[in-house]
Order: sequence, then C-alpha cells, then structure tokens
Amino acid sequence: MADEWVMQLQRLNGRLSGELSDERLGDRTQRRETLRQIGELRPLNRLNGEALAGRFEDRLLVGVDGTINSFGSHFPYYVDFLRALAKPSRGEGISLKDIHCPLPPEDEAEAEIALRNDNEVRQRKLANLEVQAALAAIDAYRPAVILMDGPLVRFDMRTKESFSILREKVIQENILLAGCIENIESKVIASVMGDALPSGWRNRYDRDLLWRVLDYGEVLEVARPAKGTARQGQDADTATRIRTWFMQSSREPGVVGLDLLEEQAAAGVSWLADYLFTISPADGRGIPIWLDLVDREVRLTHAELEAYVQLLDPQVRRVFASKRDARFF
Amino acid sequence: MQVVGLTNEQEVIVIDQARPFRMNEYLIINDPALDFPKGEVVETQSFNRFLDFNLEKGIVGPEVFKALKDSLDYDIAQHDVHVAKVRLLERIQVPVRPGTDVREPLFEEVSSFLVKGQPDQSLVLGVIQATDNLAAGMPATLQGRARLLVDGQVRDQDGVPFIFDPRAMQQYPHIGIFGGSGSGKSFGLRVFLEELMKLRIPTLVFDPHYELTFTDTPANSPPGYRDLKFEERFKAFQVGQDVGVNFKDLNTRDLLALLNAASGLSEGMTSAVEALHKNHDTHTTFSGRIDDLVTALEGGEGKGGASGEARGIPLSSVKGIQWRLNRLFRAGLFTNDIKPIEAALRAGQLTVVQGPIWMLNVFASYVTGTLYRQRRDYKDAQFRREPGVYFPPFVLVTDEAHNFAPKGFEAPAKSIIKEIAQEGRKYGVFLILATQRPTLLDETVTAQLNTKCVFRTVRASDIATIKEETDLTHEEARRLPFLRSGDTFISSAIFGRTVPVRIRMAKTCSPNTENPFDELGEQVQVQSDGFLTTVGPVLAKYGVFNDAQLIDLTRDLAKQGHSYTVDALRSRLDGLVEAGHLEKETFLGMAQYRLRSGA
Ligand SMILES: Nc1ncnc2c1ncn2[C@@H]1O[C@H](COP(=O)(O)OP(=O)(O)OP(=O)(O)O)[C@@H](O)[C@H]1O
Ligand SMILES: [Mg+2]
Repeated sequence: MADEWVMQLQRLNGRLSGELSDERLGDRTQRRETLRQIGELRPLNRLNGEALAGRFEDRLLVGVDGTINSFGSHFPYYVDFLRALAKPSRGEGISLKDIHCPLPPEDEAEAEIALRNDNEVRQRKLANLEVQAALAAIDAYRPAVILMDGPLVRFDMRTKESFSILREKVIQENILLAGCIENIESKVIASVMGDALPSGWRNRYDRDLLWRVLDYGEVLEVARPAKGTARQGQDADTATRIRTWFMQSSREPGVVGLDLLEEQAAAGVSWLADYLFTISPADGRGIPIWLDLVDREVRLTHAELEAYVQLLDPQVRRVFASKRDARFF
Repeated sequence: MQVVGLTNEQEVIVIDQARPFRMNEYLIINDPALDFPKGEVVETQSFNRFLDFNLEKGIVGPEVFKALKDSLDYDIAQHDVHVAKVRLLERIQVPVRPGTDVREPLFEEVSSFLVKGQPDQSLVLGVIQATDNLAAGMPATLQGRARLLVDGQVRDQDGVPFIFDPRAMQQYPHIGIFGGSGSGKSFGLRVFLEELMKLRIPTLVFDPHYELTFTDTPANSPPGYRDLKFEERFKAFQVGQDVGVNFKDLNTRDLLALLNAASGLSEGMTSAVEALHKNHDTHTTFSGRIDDLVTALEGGEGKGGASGEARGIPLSSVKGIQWRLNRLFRAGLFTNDIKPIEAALRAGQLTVVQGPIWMLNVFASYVTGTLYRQRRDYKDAQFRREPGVYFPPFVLVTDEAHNFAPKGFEAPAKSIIKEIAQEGRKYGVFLILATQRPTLLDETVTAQLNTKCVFRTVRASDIATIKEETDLTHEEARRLPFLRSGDTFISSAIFGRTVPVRIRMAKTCSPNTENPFDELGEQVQVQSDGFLTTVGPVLAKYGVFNDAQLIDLTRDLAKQGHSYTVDALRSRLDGLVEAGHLEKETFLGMAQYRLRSGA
C-alpha cells in the first residue's frame, strides 16, 4: 500500500521542479541578460585601507535590530519582552524596551484585533521600537549610515507614522538609511519589470529568479523603486519609495537584499554596497558583520528572561506558566 | 574584576574585561566580611563572544574585522572577556558572593605568603612568577636580589624573590630537585650551592658530571653580579687523586662494597673476603695476605702453605679479589684519605667530590658514613653532656641521586642516605638530592624530602610520582611538560603550598659548557696544526707537489717516523687546504698542492 505522503511529495516535487526549471525561467545566461534590463549587474569592490579610512570620516555606523522573547506561549497567556538596540560603532548605544501582553485587553478594539492576529500587534510594537531607537541614535550620534535589520518596507507597513519621520530626518540630515535582508521574500523583479517580464517569471519570488544566477561578489543595482506606499492624505510624490538591490555577498548560494530610500539611491550609493560587501564574512549569511554584532547584543538570554519574570508575583506568574513545562516528553 | 558564577570556599571564577590574567598571579577578593581573602590564579582563559568557535556558522575572517577597524576604528578586542580560576590561599567559612569586586593586592597584603626569610640569612633562589606588579611595593632589602636569564638575555629581578630559609629545614628537612633532561636541574643546583656558599654552610657535594666547580663566570654575566669570591669558598677533590679511603678505617662491609664496585663479587669471593680481612688491616697487610695466598695456591704447598683460615678458599676467588683490589689501588683509592674533605667542611667550605659514578657511589657511602658518624657522635655526646670532638652540621648534595639511593635494589650509599633522610634532621645533616627520575628514587627517601623543586617533566610515570609526592594541583601537573628550562614549581611544607619560581641566573658556570660541536671544530684545528708541524718541513722541501708524488711523500714522512697511507695523507692534506695552509688546484684531473707562504 502506497504511503500517502510519498505520493503527495512526488506530485509536489514534479510541480515545483517544473516551475523552477531552466526551461521555464531561462538558463543562467539568459536570466542575467534579462536582469540587465532593470539595472546594472556589476562586480562589488572589496574596499581596502585607504578607501575605508576616508569613508566615514569621523561619523559612525549604526546598526539597528530588535528581538522578542516570550514567557508563556498560548494566546492570550504570554508576556512578550521587546527590545530594540541601535548600536553605534563608538559609544554605548540606544536600547529601548517594551512589554507586550494581550492580557487584559486595553479596549474593545484592541481585544478584537488581538484575537485575530496578536502576532501582528506585537510585530508593530517591535517595528516601532526599532524605528524609535534609530531616531534616538540620530539625535545622539548623527551617524553616517544606519543599517536596519530586515526590509525597510516592513517599517513602512507596520509603523508608518514613525517611519515617515525617520525617513524625512535621514534625508534632511544626510544620513544613509539601508535595510539588509537575509531572507528575501519579495517579488521586486516581477513588479519592476512591467511589460518586459518574461511570461515564466510572472508572480515569481526574487529568490527563485536569482538562485545561483549572481556570482560571488556581484550586485544587481535595480534602477527603479518597487515598494512603498503613500500615507493617508499624502500624494504619490511624497510617498515612501524603496529600491531593492540584490547582492551575492557570501559564498553561500542565495542573494541578500539591500533596501534603500529612493531619494538616496538615486543620488548614487554604490559605495555602500561595496562597503557592506567588504564587512560581510565570505562564509557567512551574506549580511554585514555589524548586524551580527547587534543581533548578538540585542538578544535576551534565558537567564535574563527568568530573572525578569521573577519580578511577577507567583500567582500572576502562574497564569503564564504553560502546561508544556510539566509534560513528560 | 569581579567574581562570577558558582563559587565555593576554595575557588572562585573571576572575570575582567580590561586585561588578561596571568597564571599564578595573586588577587584579593575585596570583601571585608570575609577579611579580604587572597587567591592565586590557577587557570586562565580569554573569550570574545563575537569570535567564538562555531564550525557550523563558519569563521569570520580577520579581514572583516580589519575593515571595521580601518573604516570605523572599531576594535573587536574590546569585547574580550578574561576569565581566571582563582584558588584561595586560605579556606574561608562561607563561599565568596558572586559579584564581589576583585583587585590586585599590595605587596604587604600578600608578603606573608611570599616571603619567609631574610634574604641575607637565606637562600635567594629566584623570583616568584607573576609577582612583577608587587615588586614596586617591596622593601629595599628585597629589591635587586637576583637577575634572571631569559632566552639568553639577562633581565633585572622582576618580582618578589623566592627566599628559602635553611633554618626551616630543622622542622621540614631535605630538598629534592626533579626534572627531565635540560630542564634546569643542574643549573638550579648550582644556584642552591652558590647560596649555601654565601651562608658558609658546610656542604658535601658528589659530582659525577665534573661540572660543579665555581671558578668560571658566565660570559654574559653583568658586571658586579658575581659578588662573592666563590673560588675561596669551595674545594674540589677528585677521588683517587686528591682524596681516597684510609684502608685501616674500612670494616669488612665497606671493603666488600668497594671491591664490589670495582666489579661484581661472586659469593665465593665475598666469603673469601670475610675470611681474610682483619680489623686494622692496612692495604699493605691485606694485599700482602692475598698475594701470598695466590702464590701458595698456585705453587701447591710451597712456602709453608696457606694460613689456617684460608684453607678451602678456591684460587679463582682469591684471584678475583686480587684483581679488584688492584683495580682500586691503581685508581689511587688507597693512596689518599678523606682528611682534606673533613678539613674543608670544618672550614665551612663547599666540598665537591668528583669521580666516575662507579667509584663515587662507594666512596660516597664511605665518606658520608664516616662524617655522619662524627657529627652524630658529637651531638650524642653533647646530649649526654659528655665531651666530644666537634664536627659541624652539613648539607649533603648529589645529582643523579637515583644512582645513590635507587628504588628496589641495593647500592653502596643507599643505606646511609636513607638513614640521613630519616634521622639527619636530629643531627643537623640535610640532603639535597637531584634526579631526572624521581620514580627510580627510593621511596622512603622521597617521602622525607619536605621541599621539592619540580622542573619540566615529560615522562608520565614521573609526573605520576610527582603528583603523589607533592601538593602540585592537577593544573600544575598538566603544565609540567611545558615548563621553560629554569622554571620550577617549588612544593614545600615550609610554604604549605606550591610556589612557581624562575630560578635566578647563576653567578658561576660549569667549566665544560662549551658546545661539543664547537669543541670538535677546535680539536680539528689543533690536530691539523699538529699535523702541520710534523709534515710542514717535508712539504716545504717539495713546495709544489701533485697527487702522483704523494707516494714519495709518504715514504719521506715514514723516514721521519710518521707513517701514513696515501689515502690518509690525502685526507689530512685536504684538512690543511680547508684550514688555509695549503692551496689545491685540480689540473687535468690531477690535484696539485702548493704550500701557502707563511704557513
Ligand atoms: N634558571 C635558568 N635560567 C636560564 N636558563 C636556564 C636556567 N636553568 C637552565 N637553563 C638553561 O637550560 C640549560 C639546561 O639546564 P641544565 O643543564 O640545568 O639541565 P638539567 O636539568 O641538569 O639536564 P640533565 O638532566 O640533562 O643534566 C642550561 O644550560 C641553561 O641554558
Ligand atoms: Mg644536569
């Protein structure tokens, strides 16, 4: 008797391998040709001593990352510890904290949203916390570059108000803002290409189109914005527009994304791609080491979490303790 | 610096972000409630959470951090965390609280653990490791007491001197010096001896390597470092040449030991000696008796026959004794006595006895036995309030001690060394025993060595012995194979723990420190010079000569009484070419030699 899983997996395999085949998407050479229609495909330069020394002058690099750690796991019985860190290349850094707990709901409306998608609620809080940290870092350090962990569009969508402020501020103060995306989930190429889009590429994810297409140390500098939306009551001219570039910045197959504000990308920031490539470990995930350092620092250890949780009264703590902790297997 | 993690009454973990810890450095736990416990670093580690070792994640290449440094002046090393395991010097009642502040001590806070004696009245053997930060606070009397020799460079004293007060041996007698080849035992022994001379402590040294003399000064010794006239404070004697055995003093057991040392005795010979040796025999009377017996046994009944007690002794045994006795006699053993040794010791001198190990062993047994007895008799008489002949307390020193007191079998000097090990303290006689192989040293003796200096040791069995016989910790034992020459762990009941020490630079050196290969070179030089003087006149007669003429040359040389084969001559001539006395050209396949002018 055939295993149901085996049969279904065979079908899935057939479908996907067809859709991702060279016949469908074009071979490597053809794909590279097609990609050149939307931007420059160029080798990245590894910057060395002198080029590096002059780059920042005395200004700083700030990396921003956020993290959520939860105590308890079943809705609504959990407390989320949110932390955002803006880490400058010199100085203490800005660390912002927040707590999220769906219990008790603050008002009817929130209870309603929470019930449907509490995860989205906490993600918004986190995104906002990160943007606030970036804003505080601008005031404290006036850095040359701010690197956010993840796509900029995430902030544009989840915390539109504060992101608009950030965007205006960086443009005004001439600070480069960029988002580094390790796991690209976008369809930038499909949306930017418009009529020139080959039929097989319709609705395809960037990561599928770019899989093993770029050489190590190459960047696709897409020349047009693909993402961004207008705020309510804002006209299209002042709406957030975001350009996404793709870099093969490590030897691992699979590119990383680099999100830039359209206004800044248009002014020519190829050096930033070169710089980020220079500080990305060849054998790593392709994202700049600075974001690794921020990531390490922002994370909460289990011990820290435990220590904070002890501040709750035992009968309150009991509410969040899950039965999981007591199970045998 | 602060205490972190799990602590207990003996050990704490201390971290610091500013600087790495050093092995054996002293630290103070800044807790007044516990009366500021003091500790010693016994394990060190450094860690950088951004540079951890994770094969799955891949390794961040140095160029990435360099780029951060170049562009942002960001140094990843600022995240270094240094970790030390600190062992407390004294037990405390309750564990140290995590989070307690830790600091470097001032000298006076730890001086009682480090300094146990007055430098002028004690042996200043070296410098305690990792105490350089304490040195500034030391009193002047402790400053500038020792120099160090590191990688061939002379350094000033950079820490607290290690001071060993010999008076403490009254309670904790005897010293062992252990370590593998080249670890610094002999060098260390030399420093001990220099210091004993400084204090004019009578010392008897057995030196099988002919290296313990104190006339020469090391070439790199800084001016003024040799501050004593050591040449006036020691005397070296060679067995057979300067000192020997007074035959009359020998009892039968001693004599047997001597003969046995010359060459192993059979049972027949042993009983023959027992039958033939009489108290108060001189060498002349005893050897005369032997010779007569040989003649008698060889010549049948002749000459009145052998005396009564000799009847039934086989000729072979008597001849064996005769041969051994002659060997000792020819070595000069009976020509002298030990009076010069006695005199030197009475004069408070360091008395070095040199000789081949086979003879030294027996001689040591005889001399030590005699002198120890004199000292003991004096002390016993004193104890009984009777008059006695004074003999001073003394220190007995030997390298290769496992030859003198081996484990598991007999050696002539073993019983006397054992006796001193067990009883010497009462009479003021102390041992300093050096050996490469502590495992081979008699265990009763080893157990009595209250201070042990352990140098680099690689052999597992020796490390095991050392662990058993000292209070070296597991970590220290693990470091033993990697110690530099001259670094030693001094495990002493006097200190109650193990102190890591760098032995100071010696002020003297052994006469034969010449590199043997340099010596070879010089010998070749001397030989070719000698050769030149013998063949020179003959060569001069020829002036220029070629290969074909070598045969004539050998003939001429033979006439002068120097015989060489042609091949030998050719190779000697090549030696002269190399030394620059001859020129050699090869012309049409034939070598041509020309004597250099001035040669
Ligand atoms: N305290 C020291 N300071 C500087 N150098 C030292 C020290 N001790 C030893 N050395 C160096 O190490 C060399 C070997 O030391 P030493 O002759 O004492 O070895 P050893 O342990 O007696 O070896 P072996 O058992 O082979 O006789 C010395 O010649 C010297 O160069
Ligand atoms: Mg030696």
